[in-house]
Amino acid sequence: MMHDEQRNPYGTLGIPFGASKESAARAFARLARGLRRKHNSTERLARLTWALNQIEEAVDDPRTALHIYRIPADPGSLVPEQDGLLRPPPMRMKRTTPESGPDRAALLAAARSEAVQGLRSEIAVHCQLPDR
Amino acid sequence: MTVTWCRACGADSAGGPSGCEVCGVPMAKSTSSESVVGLAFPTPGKFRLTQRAGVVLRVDGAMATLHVSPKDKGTIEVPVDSLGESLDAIPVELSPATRLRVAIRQPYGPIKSSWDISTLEIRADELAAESEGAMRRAFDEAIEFGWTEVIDSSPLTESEKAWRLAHHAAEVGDLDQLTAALKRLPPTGYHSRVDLILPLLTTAVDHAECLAELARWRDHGLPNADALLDLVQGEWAVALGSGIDMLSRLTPSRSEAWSSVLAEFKAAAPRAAIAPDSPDWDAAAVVTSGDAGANVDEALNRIAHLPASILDDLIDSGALTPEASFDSIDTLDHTYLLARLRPQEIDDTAAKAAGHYAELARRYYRRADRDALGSLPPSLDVRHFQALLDVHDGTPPDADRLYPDVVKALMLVDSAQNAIENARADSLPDPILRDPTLWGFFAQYAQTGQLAPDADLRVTTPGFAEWCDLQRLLGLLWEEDWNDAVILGKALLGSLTQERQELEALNLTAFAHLGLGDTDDAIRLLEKAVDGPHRENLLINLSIALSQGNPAAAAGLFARILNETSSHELKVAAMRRAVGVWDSAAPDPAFPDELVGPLTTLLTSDLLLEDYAQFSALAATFIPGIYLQLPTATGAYAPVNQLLRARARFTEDPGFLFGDLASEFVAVHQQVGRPSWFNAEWKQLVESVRTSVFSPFGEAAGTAELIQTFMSRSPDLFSQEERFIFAPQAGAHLAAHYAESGTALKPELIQMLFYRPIEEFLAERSLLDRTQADAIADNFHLTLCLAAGYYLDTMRSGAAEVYNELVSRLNWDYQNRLAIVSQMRSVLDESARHQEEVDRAVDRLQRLAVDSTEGRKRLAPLTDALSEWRSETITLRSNL
Repeated sequence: MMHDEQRNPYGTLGIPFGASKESAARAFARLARGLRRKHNSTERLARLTWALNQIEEAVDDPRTALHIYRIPADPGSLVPEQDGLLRPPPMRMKRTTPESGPDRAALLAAARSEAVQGLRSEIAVHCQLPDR
Repeated sequence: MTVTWCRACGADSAGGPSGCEVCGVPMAKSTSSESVVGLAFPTPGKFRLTQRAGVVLRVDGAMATLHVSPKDKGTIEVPVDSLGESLDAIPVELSPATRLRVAIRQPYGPIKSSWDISTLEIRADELAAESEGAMRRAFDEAIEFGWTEVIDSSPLTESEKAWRLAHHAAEVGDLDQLTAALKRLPPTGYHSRVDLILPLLTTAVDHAECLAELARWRDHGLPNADALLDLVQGEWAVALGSGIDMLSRLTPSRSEAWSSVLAEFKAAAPRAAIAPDSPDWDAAAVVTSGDAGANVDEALNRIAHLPASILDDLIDSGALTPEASFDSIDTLDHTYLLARLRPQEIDDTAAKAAGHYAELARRYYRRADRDALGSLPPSLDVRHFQALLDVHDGTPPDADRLYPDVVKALMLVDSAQNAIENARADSLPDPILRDPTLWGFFAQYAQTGQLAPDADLRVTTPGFAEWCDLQRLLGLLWEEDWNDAVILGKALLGSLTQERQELEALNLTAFAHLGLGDTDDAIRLLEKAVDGPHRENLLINLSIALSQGNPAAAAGLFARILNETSSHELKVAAMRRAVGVWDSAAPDPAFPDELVGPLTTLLTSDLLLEDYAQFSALAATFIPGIYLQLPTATGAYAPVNQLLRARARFTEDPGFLFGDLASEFVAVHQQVGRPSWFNAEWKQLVESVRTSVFSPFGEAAGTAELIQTFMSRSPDLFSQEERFIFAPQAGAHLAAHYAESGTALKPELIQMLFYRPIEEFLAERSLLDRTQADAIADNFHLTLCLAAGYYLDTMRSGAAEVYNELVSRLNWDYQNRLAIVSQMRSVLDESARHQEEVDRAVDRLQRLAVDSTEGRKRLAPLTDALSEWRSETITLRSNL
């Protein structure tokens, strides 16, 4: 059994270390509700009350409360890192340009022009002058 | 090669012995010659003393006729074989006629020569006119040299001249000269004239005069003029067709390739460019490829310059994907392209510039930045992400604002939660299992064990199973079920696939061990975890475990926390905790070396005053030498620093005495009064004083000096009770100390340390607790008896010694007898005063009313000794 000085107020309330006072109050309310019909409820309620008081009164800055064990030490380890509906990946932008017909026609015309120039160059390279 | 047309008139002619069938001019080609005519050779000069250059005018058989100088009569005849090497100035490869013309125009070297120019010109003309071939050759050579007078005077026909000039221009690539020469050709004949333009085709397309000449040729029906015009001026398909025909006569294989190109362009689906430097053709080929379904990611650098609409087509069809390489397109602004393909690579500013508000909305949602979300132009995306933030805050999903697929998923979550709560299910639907972002809604069920993965799920969705297990481990800790938590933790360790979860499992399992009191196991697990990320929390947890299991070892860990954290608040908290843990460790350990550095660093940082005081006190106590080396503090810290530097000096500096320490306390007290930090130090000092004074009298002279200083300068620092105890104790110690050297307390000190506090006590006695008052009275009694006793003994001994000396002197110093007797009376008077001093002490002692056996035993010797001394004094006085 844990000694008094080893008790963890966040653990007693079942909330992660450093949770807000509001979270602590909600957890207390939830846990206390279920205690009425249980045996040993007085002791349990006292511990819950102690835990709530600690978080509300004694712990100004959880980060500097070095006597309280961090559960969890890495909150992110309990949150899956993958993308999904609630953590969507980067969104690719939808198209904003119009239909490409005119641009394609211009490209084809330019390509044809280059082809004609290329053919001319090739003829110029391969031709032979007649005898003088 | 068979000459098929006449150069003189341009008509097609087979030629023959009588020349062209149309103009009769011989169709001989330009001839070559191996003759030495026209070459210059060195010849001996007059008297054979010099050499001259002689040019060969003619060769008859084996003899060559040389012209040497106009002064020589005629020419000289020499055997051809004796000519030797010709002079370099006249190129051998030229025709004889041109050689002579070169000879006329070229300067010579050292060999003296002066030919008759007219002789050479006449001979050159003769040579050039010897045949059509010679004529043509000479003309061609004149073109090379640019001898327009030779060109103009050549007997060749004007049309042949034009032809030959055009041919030369085509050879050297001079389109202007070519065009000018072609324009001098007659409108018919010279059917090969078109071929002269081909080498300059690429520039001819922009040469208006050349094109005009081509048009005239076409009009006159010259062969291939039409085709050439089509090639340079025709519409692309006509140009390509015409060009392909021409090329087929030059390289049939290439014409086939170009035929394919023509077909591709006709189909508006060009493929790979077969001509170099054709970026648009190349890009069009890539587009064709993409349109046909090929992936064009690797070709992005070849199409990145295209209009965005074409690139969008490729993106929409999947030909261009996020895998496309942007590496080599660094000169273009491809923000839009990145926004379409790899939005994660553009920053917020670029996304805004590109108008990619959907992505911005997503980013602001991920950052939970409602203000930024609200600043975006309203849109379905913005509304969706705002609604999603609401869901995170616990608001029920708003179907009007959320994306339909998200609404559907959240409804599924809701029904799955209901099923679990009503024990109708212990697993989740596949859509939820496949989306890890939805698992968080079921964390509490996993923690309580209501949601537990079965064997199949562990195989099909291992990530979910591991997440569930870790949640359950956490849940067991919330339930304080330490045993089951340890069992589950041990099962998880080594099986979790992600390092982050493995480290957390170590941490959680360690906590369970602490719950069972197994600090060693907890420490072992945490030591494995601290080298991963989130070291700070893990270090703190390890420090907690060590504090419970091995406090002495915790110091090193706190030192790590102090050194590694950048948070000042955490450093202060860690030092406070470190001091607390160390202080609780038994028995009385030395201050940890590992904490010295961090402590001194903190002392030079910005601290709350109470922390500064606490840490300074620690340093002054355990590392006084180091503390003294720190810069002197200023401002609010100054009084604290002054006091604790005094304490440190008291430890380190042998010359810094009790009185000096007391003086510093008084000085600081006078500056700041009694703040809590001062009281903490004062309390500690008082405790050490209390421990010190209750020792054999005479052994705490230093402490007594301390007390004396306080009583003298600031008696109210002591409480009343402390004054009543410490002052007389100090007096007794000092009296005993002085007595060793034969001196006594001065009356002022007796007044300060005894009489004043005694009078104060006697006035307050009735208000004090009886037992306490009796104890104080007894303390006064004891110490005053002692001090008075030392006083009496010391003074009596001193007086007796002086008096006895005077008595001895009286026996022989008769001359000064009166003076000696007077001195003896003075001694006796002095003794009476000392006796009165002791009377005063006795008076206080009696008034203290210490009516105990011990008290009476103390006082009796004093009063007896006093009485005896007084009697002795009276007796001695009466004998004088």
